[in-house]
Amino acid sequence: MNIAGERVLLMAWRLSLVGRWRRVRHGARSPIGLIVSIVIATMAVLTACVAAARFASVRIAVEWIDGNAGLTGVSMALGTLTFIVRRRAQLRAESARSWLVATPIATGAFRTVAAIRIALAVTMQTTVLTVALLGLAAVNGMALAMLSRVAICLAIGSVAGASVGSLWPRPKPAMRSEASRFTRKPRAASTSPALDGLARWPVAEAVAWHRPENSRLLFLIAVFSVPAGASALLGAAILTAWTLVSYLIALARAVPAVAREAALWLRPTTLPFAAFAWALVRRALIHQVLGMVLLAAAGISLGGRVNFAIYLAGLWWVSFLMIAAIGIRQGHRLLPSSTRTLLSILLVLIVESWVRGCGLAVATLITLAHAYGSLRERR
Amino acid sequence: MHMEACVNAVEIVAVCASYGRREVLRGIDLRIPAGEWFCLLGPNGAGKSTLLHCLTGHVLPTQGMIRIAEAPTMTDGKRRLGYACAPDQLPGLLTGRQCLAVYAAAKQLARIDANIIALAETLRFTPYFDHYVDTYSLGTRQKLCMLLALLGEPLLIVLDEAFNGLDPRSALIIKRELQLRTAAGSAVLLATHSLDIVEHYAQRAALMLSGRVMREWSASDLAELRRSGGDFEAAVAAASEAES
Repeated sequence: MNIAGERVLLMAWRLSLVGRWRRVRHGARSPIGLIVSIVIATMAVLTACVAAARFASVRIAVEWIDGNAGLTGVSMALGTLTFIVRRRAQLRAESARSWLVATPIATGAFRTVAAIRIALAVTMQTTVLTVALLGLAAVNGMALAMLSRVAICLAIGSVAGASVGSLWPRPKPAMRSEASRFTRKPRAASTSPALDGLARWPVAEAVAWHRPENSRLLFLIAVFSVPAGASALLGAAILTAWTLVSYLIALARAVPAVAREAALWLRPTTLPFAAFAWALVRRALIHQVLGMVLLAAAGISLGGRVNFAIYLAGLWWVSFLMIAAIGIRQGHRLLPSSTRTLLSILLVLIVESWVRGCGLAVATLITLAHAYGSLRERR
Repeated sequence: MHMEACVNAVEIVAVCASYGRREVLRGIDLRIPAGEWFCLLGPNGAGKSTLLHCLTGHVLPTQGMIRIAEAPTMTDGKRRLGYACAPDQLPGLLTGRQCLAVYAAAKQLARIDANIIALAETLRFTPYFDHYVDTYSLGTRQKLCMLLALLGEPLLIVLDEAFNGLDPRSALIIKRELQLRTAAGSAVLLATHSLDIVEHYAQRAALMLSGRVMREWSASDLAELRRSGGDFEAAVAAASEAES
């Protein structure tokens, strides 16, 4: 069998990975800054892990997984299956546009390399998930036998999902769709100057993210999280809660992404930073408030305490404002925001786990610092 | 269309810029008077796009001064700037109409000029107004970029390879529109590899090499080339060879 084509494709992939890493390394303002960021991130992750390990919730989660082996295996299998189907479609589209498509490399070589890449990704995901869960449980002093059962359960689910996924039929090319296909088309408005389009953009991004290829995994998890024998009301409340949580997270992620894209496009104009930021965040903020109110209502209807629902809503709103403030500031400077956002979220969670309420204050301070910084540095 | 009297549409004095440690612009001096079509030529990587990005605020010069429409600050200058962004910078999840509305609001315009709507009609863009940008072809995106650049009667119109992907009819319509704008007092700064545009439309041109302006062709030089039927392509190639 001639494997020259596969070798070339694997080499091209390896080089692109190395290039991506180099770009990250050179993209940092200074090597010292990069090293400091890595050290802080590692420390934050370790601290968060230790802090999380203290929670009884980890013990409860591992025990639940152990007690519901079948359900866990099926969930893992479905997750792996949907991941493989989606990744295969992505890699097929990528190979169709590949700069090597016109070379004499056989079509089969593209498929083989795609399969290798998917297998590596699935193996890595399963390993990371298993090690993280077992590590947390081990810190919490759990029995080795139980941990082994959980690991085996996850591994079997992953292998089963991968086996079915590799045999899953390919969707027809006509099924491929652009992001806007699932976004509600705006009514034709009058053509007059207005920033309303900018305000709708993060919402459109969040809705586009929920197109079937992404949301089906969420739907499966939501369905499986409904306990057996639950009433229709309880089932509806759980499904609503999952949908809302997913939408609110997608919306929080969309604001920084849109800020960067919008800044690229609108930077040559005289749009003041405050107007830019407010236009981006105003509709998303309304959706966050309404979504959280509905979520709190769903939580209370499921038997949650009112005080706790209000507390969670407050924590999320403050966190959303912090994510938006960091994302809009960094986006407007055309800089990436994910590391800074992640570190800030970790900091808030760690502080909040130490003293309840202090995390909210820290998040508010970070938000104000970024808002003030943005207004000062506007050029 | 009526432009206020302004001697220089843009004044670039000793501008330097770099990406990290790599110096891309090394002391650029350019003055483009109002009412002039100026073309910026040069091989790939010469610094043409970086210079345009300095004008738009995407890149901050490390040294030097840029003044648009003789305004004291960059923000004031941007009021008179029309920039055609790259087609892939357009927001995919907004419609063409929303893009126009947002851009007009960002430029703090009270209304969208009737001539922009008329130009959209002439360019056969109107049927795409209410479609999402991510469904547009390259040429349709390019038309939208041009419409955005021409919003609000800018004094300086900055274009970076703005005719890529346009069909010949649309390209001709836009070139004629730009001629009308220059006649009314706007200046056009176009970075291009198309020597045909320089020969037929530009009043002045400059050749950039390694971040410096190496050669300028004045209006009379270009007129002479047109009159004598000279080979501008050969002239540019010779200048590039001589300087490099």
